[in-house]
Amino acid sequence: MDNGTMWELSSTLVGGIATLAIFSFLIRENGFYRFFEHLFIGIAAGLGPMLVIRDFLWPNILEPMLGYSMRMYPDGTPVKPYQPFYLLYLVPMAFGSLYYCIYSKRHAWLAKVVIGFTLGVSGALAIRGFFSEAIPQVASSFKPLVVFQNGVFSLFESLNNSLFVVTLLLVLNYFLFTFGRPGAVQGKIAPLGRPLLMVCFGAFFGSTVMARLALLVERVQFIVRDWVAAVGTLVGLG
Amino acid sequence: MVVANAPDTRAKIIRLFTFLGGIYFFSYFVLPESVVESIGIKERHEQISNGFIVVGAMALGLGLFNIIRAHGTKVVFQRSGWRNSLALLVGLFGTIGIMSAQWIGALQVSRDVQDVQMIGEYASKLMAEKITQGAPISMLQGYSKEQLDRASSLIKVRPESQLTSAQRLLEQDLSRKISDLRADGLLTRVDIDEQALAGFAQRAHEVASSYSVFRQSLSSGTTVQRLYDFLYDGLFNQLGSAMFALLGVYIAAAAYRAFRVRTIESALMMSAAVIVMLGQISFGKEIYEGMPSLRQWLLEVPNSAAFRAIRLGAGIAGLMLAIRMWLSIESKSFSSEKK
Amino acid sequence: MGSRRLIYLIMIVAVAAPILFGISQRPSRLVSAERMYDVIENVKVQPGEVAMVWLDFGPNTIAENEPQAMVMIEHLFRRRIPVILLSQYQQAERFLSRVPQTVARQLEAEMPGQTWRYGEAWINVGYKPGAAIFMQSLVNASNVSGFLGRDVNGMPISQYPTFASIGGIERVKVVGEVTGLVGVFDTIIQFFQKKGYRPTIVHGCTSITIPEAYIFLDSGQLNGLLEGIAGAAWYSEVLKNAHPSSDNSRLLVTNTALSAAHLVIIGLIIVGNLVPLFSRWRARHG
Repeated sequence: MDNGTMWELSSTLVGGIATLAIFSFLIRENGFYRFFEHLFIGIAAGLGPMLVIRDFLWPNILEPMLGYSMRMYPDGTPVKPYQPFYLLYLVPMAFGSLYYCIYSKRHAWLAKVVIGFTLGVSGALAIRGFFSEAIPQVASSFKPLVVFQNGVFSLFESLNNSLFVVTLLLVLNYFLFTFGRPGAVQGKIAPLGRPLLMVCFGAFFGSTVMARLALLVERVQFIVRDWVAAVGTLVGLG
Repeated sequence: MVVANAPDTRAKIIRLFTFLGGIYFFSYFVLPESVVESIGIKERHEQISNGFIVVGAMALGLGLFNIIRAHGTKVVFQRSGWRNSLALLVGLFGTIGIMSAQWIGALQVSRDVQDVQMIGEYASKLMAEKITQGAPISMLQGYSKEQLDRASSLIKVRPESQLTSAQRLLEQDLSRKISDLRADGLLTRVDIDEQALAGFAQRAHEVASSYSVFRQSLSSGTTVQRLYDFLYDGLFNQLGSAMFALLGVYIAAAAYRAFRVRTIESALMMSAAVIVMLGQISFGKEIYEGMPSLRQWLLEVPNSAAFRAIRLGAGIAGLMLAIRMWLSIESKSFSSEKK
Repeated sequence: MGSRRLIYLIMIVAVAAPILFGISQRPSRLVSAERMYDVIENVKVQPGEVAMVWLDFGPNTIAENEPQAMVMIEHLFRRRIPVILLSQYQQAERFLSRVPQTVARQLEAEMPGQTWRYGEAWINVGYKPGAAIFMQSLVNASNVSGFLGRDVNGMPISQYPTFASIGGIERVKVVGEVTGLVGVFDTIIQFFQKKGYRPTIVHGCTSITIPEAYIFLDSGQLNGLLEGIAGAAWYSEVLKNAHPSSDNSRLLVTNTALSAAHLVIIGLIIVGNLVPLFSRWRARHG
């Protein structure tokens, strides 16, 4: 067995033990489960900062700022001259460091400055995001109620479009809490939106079940096929 | 400091920064492109955007610090559950260590490749400047010999018997290209015409490209890379997947105990759920041939219409929230002393 | 053993049986997957043009998203469309390297003599933080290769001739998004566009987000959709029709096991509703 196969085998074996440890929770909570749960959290917590540094902070900010990415031709001239404006990144870095003021009672308010700033950015982006998403949505909701296909009236498509538009309007109306008078038509037809919403929730619920089961299938497949085969190889049966 | 002791002033500062945070992107979207270009923002937009990301990225130490503080204290004072905390810290530092080692190794490979890449880049530069003789050419020759010797020694770092068949093919291809470049004649000639220099530059770029692919493929067999693969394939992905797979088992228990049809509305909901499930699985069409089409219709017509209404409603609410957030209309916590 | 644990056992046995005995059934036909197939099959790509595939999933949705990513990339590779792989989600790190490598190995085994190499068939530019900020910056970049800068190994993208001179975002002909995260998907829908440029977007979603994805399919903001494992399974069938030597047996067994699990769930819902009815009837009639 070569080196690569050995590593793959041990990966599968340990992965199986880890999976069984997590599944042992189905019997009752136990130390074996908690150990692997903590290990998982530890790995996940280590990944985030490393990836931000490796894939963003180093290549986009620190390397050009510190001039590490500068390359010289054999005659000593730089491929690209150093750009001093990269030093301006020190400003957002210093500003972002205000997050750490949260640990000081006296200066904790400074952390709110940077949190507020981030909220402001998110708010402005959300405004733009809403319009780019919603405009095509609204536009495509104006469906023709009478549909002709190749010059022939299509009852099925016409009914579908009518049902679509009616459902959309009834459900929108169901969520109108801010205006409308008691006793008005708008209030009277509001309950009609409920059954239509239930159909939507049903589809959502059915999909949720499917998503959860898919996760289980993947794990069982790993244990039954890959892990058992790896154990077989280890004990000399494979 | 006056500012620091005046909660109202602090709140004003926070509101000001909240507004300033949003004004750049808001302006970028609403201003005509010609205006953005004329004031020079478009040209620097990438760097400015990176600046915004840097502000958020600086928070990465917060989580690390908290987790190390909480679990480190448990381990040091051997409080209840300290062994689990130790596992967490081992996972955390192990990940940081393995990823750092893998990254440093990749950077070294990248530097080696860029050194070889420089042969072609320098040749292209000389070609652009129409330099075909003199000191620059001898510099190119000296540098090329040095780098090609180095590259040749680095690609022999692992014995051929340890290479996979794909790696062997890559190595043969690369060795042939390096030999071709050495045999080019340009490495020894004094007088060089532009055409020869162009050919040399082209071949040098090809060598660099093959060298890059081969060096990267060699990296996959290093111990650090294997540890990195093990970290993901043996632990992280397995644990994460298993953790969420528990939900699949729980939903079975919930199906038996909680999914009760008591009203017409719940019957409607359950029917839609069953149609969606049966329409998507392979047994569905055995029960009723039109099940996939029925599911498709249900998702395309009533579901899409209702979901769009929900989404539009939620979107408008989100828009209002975004505006209020940006303009600090709801920000009592900014002036609160307790926070 | 309580009823709860008995249910767990039934469920695990129902899922394990098709896997153990290798039972596989033909998947259900999914029109949305066929739409996506047509998009990738018919897209015209000139030299310097690429597909950009976002793998925004982690181990939590690996079951559905990984097979989707595999079939999507398999089709792009078969069509020799160069692929840029990247992610907005940290936990996708491993899949960005594993998925294309696995697909390339499978294709090379299927077609001896042909190769799909890193740097030619695909590059991996890794995790990109900043979500919407990054996205709007990317679409406004005048040179995508320069903007992305380096790949995940720290290698300049200019090193790879296929990807060295992409130019503006208009040269990205297909955008693939594989995720179960609604927020991440929204970022693509909302920000991966600019004046005069609306990309062709195909999406692999987890089952839980199918109902939501349909509204984008209807509005034309999405051009094709893979719905959970079933979507990937049907897509692999369509691929197999065009390329009979491709092997999708494992995916079909997975899909069959999933189907068995659904039958158990539907059975449990029925029994769960009948048992109280029966108990009430027995109490009333002694």
